[in-house]
Amino acid sequence: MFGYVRPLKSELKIREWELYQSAYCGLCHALKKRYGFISRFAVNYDFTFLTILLWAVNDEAPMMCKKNCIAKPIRKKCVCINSNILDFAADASVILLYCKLADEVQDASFFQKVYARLLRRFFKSAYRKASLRYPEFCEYTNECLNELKTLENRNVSSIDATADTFARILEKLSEFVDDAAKKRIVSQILYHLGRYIYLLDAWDDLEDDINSKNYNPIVLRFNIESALLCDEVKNELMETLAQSIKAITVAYDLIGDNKMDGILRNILTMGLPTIVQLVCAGRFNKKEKQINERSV
Amino acid sequence: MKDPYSVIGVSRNTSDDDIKKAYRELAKKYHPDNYVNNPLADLAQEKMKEINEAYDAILKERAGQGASYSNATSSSGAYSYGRSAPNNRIRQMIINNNIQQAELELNTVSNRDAEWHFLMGSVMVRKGWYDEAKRHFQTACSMDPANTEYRTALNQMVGAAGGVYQSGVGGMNACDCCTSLMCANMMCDCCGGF
Repeated sequence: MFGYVRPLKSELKIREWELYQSAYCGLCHALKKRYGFISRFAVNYDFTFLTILLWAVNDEAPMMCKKNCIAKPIRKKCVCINSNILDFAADASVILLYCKLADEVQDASFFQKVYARLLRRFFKSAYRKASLRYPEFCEYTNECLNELKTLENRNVSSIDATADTFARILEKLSEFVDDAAKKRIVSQILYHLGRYIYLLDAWDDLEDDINSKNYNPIVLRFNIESALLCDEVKNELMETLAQSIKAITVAYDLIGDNKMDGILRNILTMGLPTIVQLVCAGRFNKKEKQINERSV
Repeated sequence: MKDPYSVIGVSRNTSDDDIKKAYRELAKKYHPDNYVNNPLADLAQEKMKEINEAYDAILKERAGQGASYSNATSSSGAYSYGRSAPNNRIRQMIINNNIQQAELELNTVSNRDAEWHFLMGSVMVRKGWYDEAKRHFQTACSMDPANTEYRTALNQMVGAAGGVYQSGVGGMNACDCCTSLMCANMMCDCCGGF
């Protein structure tokens, strides 16, 4: 989806990296099983993180098995299976991707619009199925995105108000957790993760938005004319993103010891900060398969 | 009660010094100062209580050496009283995490003085609107520069970056250096020992 929530591979233990890959592959397989072949394109790192976080909160150890991989057909890969958390992450991925495409259909350049319209058509039946499974989440996502659209049309310069609409969508996913105290913790983690994703995406898209005169809250908040940001603005953005990363980490600390701690702590304390620094330096490539320290 | 040793994250054989070290790490992690203006502050307080009780139980069992930081309270979290009754009421709402109501009441106030900006900033922090919070605290400080409460709040909104972004993750260490030299040496031998 957005791709700003990833581990720093070089600092993961090998078994942790393999588990992370199995979770990612597990999400892909859950999408295929529940929504058909094309829906595999909805696989993303953000919801892989969500899956692993929910496994940690529910103290779940996922089952694994070897399956064929469509992207790498030569060797079978280790895949996590039979997890209702993976199924939930698959459903949420489809809903969010479909709604995001709806947004791109309106905002993007001509060719991006055509591409988005095409993808949307492919995902329509998957979206309908997913919305029957989680009608409340679907409705809430659309409400929040409409609210965001209204703020954009009014040229609101508050980065918090706009980030809040997206953050609340992710926060809603915490309703999957039963335990009341854990639900509050996951809610705080997901809210700030949503805020982090929205603001980093806006920062990453600065140059494109300035050139195409699209709405960008960072441009309005800091009165930016050129994508080459001055140090003062860069520091402000890095600081506000750090505040969110810190909020996620102190909330995560309250979960306590869990089987996924290595991967999750890597993502939160190393992955997220590294990606912010890459975006700040203008060197973040969403399509890059792995983030390691040589990228910074 | 849960096994105190597992709460601290040590085994029954662990030495007193290592237990003390483990306790200190946990106390640092869950200290109230890390959860100032945080909606999960009460959960952190419960966790801190659990850890202190576990540590005290272990110490009692090993016959009284030292004590936990049971009296650790937030050094900067307590709100001093404002000048007016409505503001005190709003402060109480913020302390009780009744954020929506606090924001509604603040929005009805027409006199937007330094204290108003401080209270609005505090509401914004609880909501996670850190940029707005910082701006309100900055305004409060510029309107009332002598007020230490406002200055402390502003200082908490800067400086997260230092702890979050660490340069040089990985990189060379002594092991890498040694290994590289050993590999280089082996290669040289393979190539005839230059």
